[in-house]
Amino acid sequence: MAASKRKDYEADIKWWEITDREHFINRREFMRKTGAVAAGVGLATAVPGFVQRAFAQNGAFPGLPGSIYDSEETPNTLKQAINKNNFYEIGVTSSRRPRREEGFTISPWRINIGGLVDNPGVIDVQDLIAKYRDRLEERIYRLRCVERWAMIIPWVGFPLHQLIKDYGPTSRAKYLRFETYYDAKEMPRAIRSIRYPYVEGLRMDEAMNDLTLLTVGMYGDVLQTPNGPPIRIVVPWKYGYKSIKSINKIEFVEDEPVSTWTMAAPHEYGFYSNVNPERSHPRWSQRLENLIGVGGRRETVKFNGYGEWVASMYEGMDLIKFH
Amino acid sequence: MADAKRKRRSPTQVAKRAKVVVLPLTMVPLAVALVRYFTDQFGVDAIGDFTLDTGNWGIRLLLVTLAVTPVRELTGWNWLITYRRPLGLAAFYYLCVHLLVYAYLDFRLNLEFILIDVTESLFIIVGVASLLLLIPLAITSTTGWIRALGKRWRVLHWLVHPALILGVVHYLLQVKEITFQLAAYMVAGALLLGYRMVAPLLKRASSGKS
Repeated sequence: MAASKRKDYEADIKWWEITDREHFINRREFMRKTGAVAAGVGLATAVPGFVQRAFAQNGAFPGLPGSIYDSEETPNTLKQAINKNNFYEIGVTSSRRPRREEGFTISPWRINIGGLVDNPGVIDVQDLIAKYRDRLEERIYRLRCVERWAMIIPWVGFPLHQLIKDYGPTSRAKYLRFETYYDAKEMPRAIRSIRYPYVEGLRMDEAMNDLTLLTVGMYGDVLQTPNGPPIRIVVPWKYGYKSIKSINKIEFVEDEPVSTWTMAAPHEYGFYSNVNPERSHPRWSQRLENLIGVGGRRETVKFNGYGEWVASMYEGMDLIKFH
Repeated sequence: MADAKRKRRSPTQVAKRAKVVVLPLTMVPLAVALVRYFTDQFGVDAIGDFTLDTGNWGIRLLLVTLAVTPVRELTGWNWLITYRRPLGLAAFYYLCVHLLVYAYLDFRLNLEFILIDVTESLFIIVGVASLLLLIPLAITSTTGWIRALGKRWRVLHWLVHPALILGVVHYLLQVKEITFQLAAYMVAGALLLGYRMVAPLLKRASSGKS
């Protein structure tokens, strides 16, 4: 079993840190079928296998349905997802791990949605979550970082296209432009090698793809500080930096936005940034990847294995040139 | 006069006696890294951290080795030379462990994958080049080789300079920002290499005066 290869690092291991895939899926099914109330301590202790999973009710998003896109692989532990991370605004890189006291104000959190839309507006993230609560799903996605590490993470969110439709983009809207919250006072450790606020973009068809997840949680609970709370997107067929964190602005635009990493190094990071073993990063090969917690290397799969749902969007495009 | 010498050992003699502790001392960081690795004291990417740690110590020890000659010349502490060889060898050992962690733990000795990485990843190519340059230096570090090579030994061992530069570039190619540590490596390396370019000129100038 792949799960046995992973190590548990803390004494106070939580249920999601030791749950292997089979139990993870069972837990989700169990929570969904019985409802959060039935999954109370009494019942959980009556069924020996569910004792540890009784903590699940403490999460913000228990018992969500799964999706057809779920990865077959064992999810990484939450600890791995928190610690192997890059979030420049709070000074976290994969070589410098987050500290407990690091963070920024996420309540209240307002998202400005505007540009070429019929219904622009500012919405509080809690109102937004409440509005789309019934649409929330749990999606177990592969995440591939441009620096060659990979992880399997259960996110909580809903497809971005649902929000896009509600805001009614005009016919001129061809791209979406996202911004990450930035406050120099709250983020004194921000790494100076990039410009802030962090900007990312998606072409309209990419943003409308059912895989593009507007994400508000992970492992059945809210997003942890290094993972971009309270709201981010996850675009699983692109390198991790495209999945912009802690969003406070979404703009519908006509021209291709210039993303932060493209601004920093255009020959290294293009607009599309699709996972592509055929296109080497100028400083390293992308043909191999390192799945955190498993050891050894494995071959990178084009579009991170999501080709069947996304490849058609790039038909006829030179993906080396438009990297 | 001979009696006085016997009673009071010269600094060089003391240094030679202390040499036995130098090599074990340089192995302390490796021992710490091994303990950290096998007791899960590294981060969630333990193999990556182990690789980074051994690479860092390799560069640090290489810098210390290269500092021996300038410090000796500037202070007159000639006994320092005793430590140059063990320090240089320690640096080489760390870089060998660094390679071993990469090939054995990270790549599970998958030769096909290693070949892909060694030929296609620029930072790996540079790192391998650095280590390759150091191999002949480690081999010819023995007294026998020093005698056998004569003047050519110094020429051969000049290769430690490009090896250091390649090692730091190997690091530089992987980072997203110039950290304090990387900046320190670059400054120290520039000073040590710069000294070697300037020192002969200064010596010539001062000898010309007298």
